[in-house]
Amino acid sequence: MSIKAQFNERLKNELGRKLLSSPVTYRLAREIFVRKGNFAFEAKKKMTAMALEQAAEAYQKKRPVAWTSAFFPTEMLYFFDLIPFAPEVAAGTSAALELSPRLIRHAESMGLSADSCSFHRCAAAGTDLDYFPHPDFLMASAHLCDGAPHLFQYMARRSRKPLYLLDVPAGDDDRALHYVADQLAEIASDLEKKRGIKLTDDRIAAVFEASNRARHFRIEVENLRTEVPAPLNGTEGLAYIYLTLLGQGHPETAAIYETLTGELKEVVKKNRVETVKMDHERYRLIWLHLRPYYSSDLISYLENELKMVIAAEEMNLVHWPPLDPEKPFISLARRVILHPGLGPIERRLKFIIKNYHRYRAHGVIHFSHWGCRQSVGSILFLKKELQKRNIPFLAVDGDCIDGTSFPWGQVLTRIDSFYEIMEELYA
Amino acid sequence: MRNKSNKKVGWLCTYTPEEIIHAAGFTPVRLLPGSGAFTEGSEDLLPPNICPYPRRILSTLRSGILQNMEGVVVANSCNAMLHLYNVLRTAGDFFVYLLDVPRKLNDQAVDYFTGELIRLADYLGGRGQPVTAETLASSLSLYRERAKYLQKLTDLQCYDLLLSAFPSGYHELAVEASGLSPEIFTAKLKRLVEKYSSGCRTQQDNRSLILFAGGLISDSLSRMLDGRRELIVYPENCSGMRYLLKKTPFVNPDRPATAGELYRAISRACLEKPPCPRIFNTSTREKYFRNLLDTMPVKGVIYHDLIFCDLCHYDYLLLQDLLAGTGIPLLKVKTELGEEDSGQLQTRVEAFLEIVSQEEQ
Repeated sequence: MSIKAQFNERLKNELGRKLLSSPVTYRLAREIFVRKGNFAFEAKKKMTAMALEQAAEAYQKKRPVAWTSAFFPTEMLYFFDLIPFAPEVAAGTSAALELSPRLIRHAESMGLSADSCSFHRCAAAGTDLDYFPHPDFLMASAHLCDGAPHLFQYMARRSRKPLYLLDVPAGDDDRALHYVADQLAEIASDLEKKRGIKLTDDRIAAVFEASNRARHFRIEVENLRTEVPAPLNGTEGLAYIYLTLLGQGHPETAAIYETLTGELKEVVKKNRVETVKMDHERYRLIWLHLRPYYSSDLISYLENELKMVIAAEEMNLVHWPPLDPEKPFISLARRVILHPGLGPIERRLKFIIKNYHRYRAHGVIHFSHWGCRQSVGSILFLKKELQKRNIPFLAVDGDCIDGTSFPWGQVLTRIDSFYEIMEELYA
Repeated sequence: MRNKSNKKVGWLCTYTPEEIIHAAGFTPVRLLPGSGAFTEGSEDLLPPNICPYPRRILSTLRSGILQNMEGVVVANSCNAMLHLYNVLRTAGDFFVYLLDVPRKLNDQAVDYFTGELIRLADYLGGRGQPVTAETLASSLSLYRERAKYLQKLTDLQCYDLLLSAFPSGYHELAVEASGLSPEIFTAKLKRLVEKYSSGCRTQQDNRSLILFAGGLISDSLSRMLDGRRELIVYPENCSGMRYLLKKTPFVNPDRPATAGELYRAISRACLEKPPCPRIFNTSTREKYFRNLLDTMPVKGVIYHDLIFCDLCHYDYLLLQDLLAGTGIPLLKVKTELGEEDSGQLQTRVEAFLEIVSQEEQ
């Protein structure tokens, strides 16, 4: 058994909780996953180190820990020196570490419905079993999902810790903007009191500078990824969602994207100089939603076997203008309400079509996570609309966390059929 | 004012202000999964792992069962409703309007919702009649009159009176109230209440009460508790009390309000209605449940966990926590709002009621 496998195995047993909060674990993890890890890109190595550092801080409670749901503006946490912890990300990690089956079983015993999102079931169970660090603050947004804010309410009730909920309307007009901005201002005002930290202009400027710098390099990365062949595939690209969820406003995020920009420039240069072998990129895809976090051949089969390369992922794309430190809450609110997945489906459709063309893609794949009402609800509508525009579309039904709800055999057949459609269309 | 028009506008969520639809010259009709509700005909637009309420409404509307439907106001109350809005626009020859509803209850939320109500009134006014301060005040008066009689009928002491006209109890009352024009329904209530006004409050009622909580229920689920006069069945859900106890703002005839004031009053009344699990102020829902448990003779709770409804799933956990240690039995039932599981459900509900009655003895 490899050291990595042994490490995973130990986490699964009863000592797992103690292991997670021990500084030794993180020294070991850095050794196994970072120093001796096999990374195609330095940027990913840096990101892994950052994730481990954030996890270590959260488990060791060096400062108060704030739980955040996906897309809550994390700049708000960095304003107040809070350690971010995303239980949804932790649920993904638990699947990768093969802890999730145990957590899912435990969630059922807590009364959580098997119909609800497995990310959230794992988050609740992981905390109940002390696998995850307990929150000092909880911050959730109604951006896209009904489940997360209600999970956070449930966890806040159990932990008796302050909860901040961001109510996000479906509209994107001025009224919606101010409604969200006012809530953010109110949260900041309360955190000033609770943390004893004054939100000065300097603090805002520092966090926004990091956020805007990361945004700048993200856009550079996006532009580089429009190149054919793709300098970064989906196997790599999907990992950077971590930074969208936990890294906005953190200086290391900007550094990671800067490193990635430099690395991708090199790849593009090399691809241009050398004779480009297009046989490793037969078709280009836009990837919608997330991916399975347990061991799965899905992405590898698409990219390595069928040479259908993921050129861009919906969740990684920048959709907001730079943040203005003069108007901090309006700026953050604007990013929130401009999310393409928010409101009527036309916004998401338009975003997909725009990026389909931008990335010179041949098709679109949607990973339909069973418990996600937001992403799955309009899947049939999206399919019709994309097909009307002759854009091949495949919805892969599965679950990001629960491997037992991923019918690989059926998925394989559907992917093969999708490939055949591409062959007929483009060969 | 009486709406002479037969033009109907459908609505789904109880945060929708019927008064504004009415003031625009339409008869507001709530779209509910009735007895014959089915999901066939929705598979090509909504996936199976979405709440059955929108799926059934989509099927019903596409089947053409509902005639004279000018349009539908879909409140953005949850993910499922937003998806219904997305696909309903392709489903028939009627307009579909998305009404954004805040999840919070504070001054900013009231302001935001007031703006949304003005937009709704402009939109509906363009399709029916213009909504003015006068038409709005007139509609509010009608709904306030209706609310007055509903309040009388929702008094637990009047349960027999209620059953004499609505054998399925509060659920039937809510279904009828939300499906008929306020003029017709208020007249019916008025006759009923006046007929019994002397006897309604005099009887001491010692019956046990079953709290029926959670997601909205279908007629078939409601029927399972029909005919049990030894019990009071209290549906706190949105096809029950959360609709029936919604307040209507007072209109002072001596000081005519501006349209802006009226919209704001409606906005506040809607957001302050008995809270739905979607509301973010978690303590609001908790206080509401605590109040029900403290002030009523609750002997058992049946929770309807609507399949694929995240709001219900987490609301159930709240109630489960609140009931822990109280000795009040809790039964969770899960349905797809149809007849499919009624046999098995009936057995479970009957067994539960038997346990409740045994515990009481």
